[in-house]
Amino acid sequence: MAERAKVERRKIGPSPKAVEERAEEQIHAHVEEEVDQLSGSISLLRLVCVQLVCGAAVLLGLWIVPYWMGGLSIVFQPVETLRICVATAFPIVSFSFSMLRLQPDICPVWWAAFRGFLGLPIGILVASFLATVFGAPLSYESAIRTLHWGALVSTLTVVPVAAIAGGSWPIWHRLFAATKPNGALELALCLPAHGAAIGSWVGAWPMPLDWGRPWQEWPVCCTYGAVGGYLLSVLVSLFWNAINVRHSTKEARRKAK
Amino acid sequence: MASVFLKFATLGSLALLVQMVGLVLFVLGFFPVKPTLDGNSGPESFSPACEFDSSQKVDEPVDTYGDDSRVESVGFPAKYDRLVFMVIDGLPAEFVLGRDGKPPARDLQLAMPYTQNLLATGSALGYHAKAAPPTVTMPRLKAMTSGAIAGFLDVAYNFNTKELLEDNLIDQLARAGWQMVMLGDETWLKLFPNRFHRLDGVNSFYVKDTVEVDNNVTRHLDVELEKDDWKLLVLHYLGLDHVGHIGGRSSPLMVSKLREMDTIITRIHQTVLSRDPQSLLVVVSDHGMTDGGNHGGATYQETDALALFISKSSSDLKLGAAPEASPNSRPSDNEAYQVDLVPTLALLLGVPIPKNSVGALLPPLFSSLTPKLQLRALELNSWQLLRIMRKRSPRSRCISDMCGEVELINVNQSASSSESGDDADKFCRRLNLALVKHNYWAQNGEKTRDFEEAKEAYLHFLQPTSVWLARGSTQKLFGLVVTGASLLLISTVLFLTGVFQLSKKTSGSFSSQSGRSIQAASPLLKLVAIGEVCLHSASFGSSSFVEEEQFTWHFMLSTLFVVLLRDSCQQFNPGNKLRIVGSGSSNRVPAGRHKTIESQSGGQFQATTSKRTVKEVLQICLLLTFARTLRSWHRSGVNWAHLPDVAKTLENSHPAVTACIRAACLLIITMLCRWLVPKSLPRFVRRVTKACLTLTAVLIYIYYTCDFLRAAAISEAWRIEPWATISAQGIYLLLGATFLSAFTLFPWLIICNSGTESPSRFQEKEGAFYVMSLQEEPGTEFFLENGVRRSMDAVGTVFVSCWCLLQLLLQQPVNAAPLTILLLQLLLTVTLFRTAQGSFPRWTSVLTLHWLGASGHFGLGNSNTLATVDVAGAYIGLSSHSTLLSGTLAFFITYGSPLLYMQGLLLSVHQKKLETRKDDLELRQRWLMEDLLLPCYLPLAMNSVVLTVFTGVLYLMQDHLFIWSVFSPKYLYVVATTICTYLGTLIFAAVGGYSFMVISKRMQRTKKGNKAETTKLE
Repeated sequence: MAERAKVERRKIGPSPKAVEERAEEQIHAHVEEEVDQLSGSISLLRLVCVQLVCGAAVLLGLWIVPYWMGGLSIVFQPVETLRICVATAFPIVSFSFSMLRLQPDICPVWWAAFRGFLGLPIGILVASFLATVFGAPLSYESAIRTLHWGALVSTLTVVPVAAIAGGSWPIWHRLFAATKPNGALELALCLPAHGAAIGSWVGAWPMPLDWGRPWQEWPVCCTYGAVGGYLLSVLVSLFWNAINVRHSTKEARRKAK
Repeated sequence: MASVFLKFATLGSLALLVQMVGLVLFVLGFFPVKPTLDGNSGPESFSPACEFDSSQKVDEPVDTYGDDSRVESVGFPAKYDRLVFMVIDGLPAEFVLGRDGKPPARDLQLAMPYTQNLLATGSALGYHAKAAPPTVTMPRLKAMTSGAIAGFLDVAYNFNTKELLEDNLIDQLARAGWQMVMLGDETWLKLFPNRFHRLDGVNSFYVKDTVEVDNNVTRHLDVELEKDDWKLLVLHYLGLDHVGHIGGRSSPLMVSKLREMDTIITRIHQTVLSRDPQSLLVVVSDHGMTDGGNHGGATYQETDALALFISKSSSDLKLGAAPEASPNSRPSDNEAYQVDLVPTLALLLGVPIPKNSVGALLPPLFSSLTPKLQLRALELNSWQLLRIMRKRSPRSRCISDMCGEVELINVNQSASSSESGDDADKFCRRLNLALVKHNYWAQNGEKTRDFEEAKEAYLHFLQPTSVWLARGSTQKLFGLVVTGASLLLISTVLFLTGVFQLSKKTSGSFSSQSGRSIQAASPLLKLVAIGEVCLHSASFGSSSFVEEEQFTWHFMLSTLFVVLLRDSCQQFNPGNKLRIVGSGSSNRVPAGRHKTIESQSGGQFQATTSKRTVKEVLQICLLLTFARTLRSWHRSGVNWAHLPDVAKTLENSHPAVTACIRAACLLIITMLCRWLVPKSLPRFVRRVTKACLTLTAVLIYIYYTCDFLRAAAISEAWRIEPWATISAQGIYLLLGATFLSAFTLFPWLIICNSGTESPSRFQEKEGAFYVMSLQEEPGTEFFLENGVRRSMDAVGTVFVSCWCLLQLLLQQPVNAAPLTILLLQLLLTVTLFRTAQGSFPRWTSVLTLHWLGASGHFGLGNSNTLATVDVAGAYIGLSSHSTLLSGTLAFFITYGSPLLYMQGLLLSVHQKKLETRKDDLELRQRWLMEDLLLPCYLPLAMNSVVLTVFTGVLYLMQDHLFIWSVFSPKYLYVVATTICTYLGTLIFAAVGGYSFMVISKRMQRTKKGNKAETTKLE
């Protein structure tokens, strides 16, 4: 994940140094403001809703919508299914996370969604590069599959961050390179993204086994792994945030007393 | 400092010693010599007694079967008195008999018209004679003559052909007074010295020669076929195997080779067989071949050997497919085992069955005999198997009952007495039943129905027993196995303790001083390294993961690189720049330069950091791409090995394409090697080294030209062979000389007291990028460790160059490009860890190099089956057969990549020191630990983990279906990898120790010289 963020950063930011620094400082200030805001319970509720909606969208897109559209399944028609899944999940993820964008006063919703849209192809490129490097086959058909799988993973990992933070390097660095999420929102971004990446990594292990099952084909089990890891870590981040909020509100009350 | 060093060195050598002892004990215990019967089968084998150690009883003939049994009990009438035994090396039975009931491919069928005609008319009877692994010539010949399936470790002796001392068919025939003639593979002459009346041995030496090797056999045929003084004629044709090794199953030469073989069969059939009806022609192959033409493993293609019995009249052989054939317990009628040849031939030729033969006779060949003789043959074979069974499971009650009293006991009684369900008992009861039925047939008027029943009962005993005996479920020597395994475990614990102690010592005490070393404790990196070692070990539990180990290694390596990528991204954090410069600089920058750097603004510092990060990221991405390219070069493994890959595409294209790529790779590697020659050497030495390397490259080019001419069939093999051999020998000589003189002389010649001259190319190029480089003050005093590092670096560079050139000579043509990639990968990795400047702890670089080596092992087309060992390359440049030399070459070819990276460890030593101001002692201790001990310890520890875990797996899996086909070959590889690791560590330790010694001596001398000068001046 880290390297995805890294490479992406590299591609986005060719602007002059001084301007960049100033912009970053501004963003930095805004992030801190936002984080302060997020400790309030209203935006946390929004965050929970957004996460649940995204999780549901992925589930829907991977299993239910393809089934409606002529009984497709990820095992036998991976490309079509993944395409439908991305088509379903991407708009939902992109728009719902755009609601949580930083600096809502200067950045309209459509701009945040557009940033998410920009993030998608970059994420696809990075994810596909990594998948290929890890051993995804190189034939034309397999490359198509890899790109589709990359689109799904990109939707789960890069798009939310791109929609919320745009090209702010400190946030990308904190989320993906240092893995030190700061506050509930960043945790909700960082944990599922890592979950999806680690999930796909784990999902690749059964592939060399000689069981001859259709789901051992690339990219089926990696997709299972990615989605499984994503959903699991969404749940974990929800719980984590809930516990933290309760803890902090208690402390706040104690302080108030 | 010295005491710590000594402590670790002692610990390491102790662990090493324990490991060696443990390994030897385990191997001896786990692959024990099978319990075999001593001596030769004599006339006693014709009596139905089961004595195997005492022969007193034999004197009194046992009279059980009516009047004329006395005549038969001293012998079995020979059906044939002349035998032509023709071995076609590597011919898959599929080529002659087809597969799964289908006839062979059309062109193959057309290539052998005469043989196919014989098969169709019924005067030939063909079997798929399943060969036992390892499917290499020598063990197979032993199996075909002695009938015994040797222990697994015999494969290690394949290069080392020794006289066959076990009871065997050839000796039996010799004792029966047969005159024998042998033409063909000289393995026969080594197995059976002084047995043959006339002989002409050819060797399987020039694997690339497919014509002469067979002509040398055939040229005697005219004379021999006319003579009638011999009774056994052995012909062993090697050409077909050579064709396979060069071009695989579908080689264009295959059809013409089959046609040649068919001609020879025709000739023999039309001369010997038609003249003498009592003669038999047996055409066998010792093993099959894979699609690529290799053999050694246990796949169907490799074990599918041929056994073809041809006699004059078709009535002699009733085909198994005939309706009256007995129902077999085997899946198909024309499937047999290779060892079945032995009892069949022994009985057909009227000699005793060799003592340790585990074969069961092939009934269709006896079907023209009288019922009495047929049953007699079956009975003899049964008694003979029973003797081995008794030796194998001495505690079986049924067998001891039978042998205790020669009288046949009541079947029901014996059946009820042993309810244990033990295999030996089960088979023994079957034999009892058969004997009873035989008796019943003899006493009740010899009815046909009873005969069929008795025969069936015998076969019901013989065939499963034969399979059971052949499987060789022998008792392991439990004590040795457990002792060995626990010693291995102890050594692993010792090694791991050593590694953890070392890494704690190196990172713990110094992390506070070197700014970027704080990341040395990057928890993720540690987690990934340890986790992946555990995962890799766990994966051995599954036979698929063992077969497809290349996936595991590649995955692990990629993961490691991705984590490194993440870590290097982590360092690039503009948000933190102020803090870094503000607080960290006082430690990092020597006082004199401190101010200037800070005043030049943090911007410059940040620029250099970001530049370095970009560089690191690019390097890692490039490394990932290289690894992926290597991965797709050879598919390796088992399950997907048949799918196309780059190497196969190149092999199937025109030889000129491969030759061009090979030459280009030679050029690239030579340029790289020339460029690598370190600048720290005096100019003259540098020139000589470069000249040596260039000359070697020229010789390799000459060799390539010869090879290309041969491959493209432009010129004849014999005309080119001497040139190729001479150039190869020249290369060995040059490389050996360069290697040795680099080792002995470089530490003396290295320039180590001038700080201004940049020691190697890497630093010269990258020095400009670093702030760090500023702190190297020109004219620093002469440091011992600097000198040793520089010397190790120089020696390592030359070692790596020599090794690459040697590999270019030895490896298959398609492997030239992967070799180039391997070298580039090595250089890039070394550069990466130099660029990173201690931001990664030292163990990371050692670990990465070790894993790269292991992954590259599969990238060069090796796998965990024995079939991928490149035997053809092991003879390059040898002008006479030498077990030791060709074995060493085969080892070098197989372990080209791990050994390259073990030598690459020498390059990785050359790290620039971070702080010059620390006091000498501390610095030296760290240096000793990091640069000398860790690179020795870590590979040994990693290998020891694999070795121990796999030893455990092997022990647990000893009853697994794949124990002989998957786990045991892998164990051989694990042992060979262990040896390779020892060798690499030895090289490293030797270079390090020698350099240390020489440089310190030189230091003392200069000091003395300085003192002398100063005193003189005074």
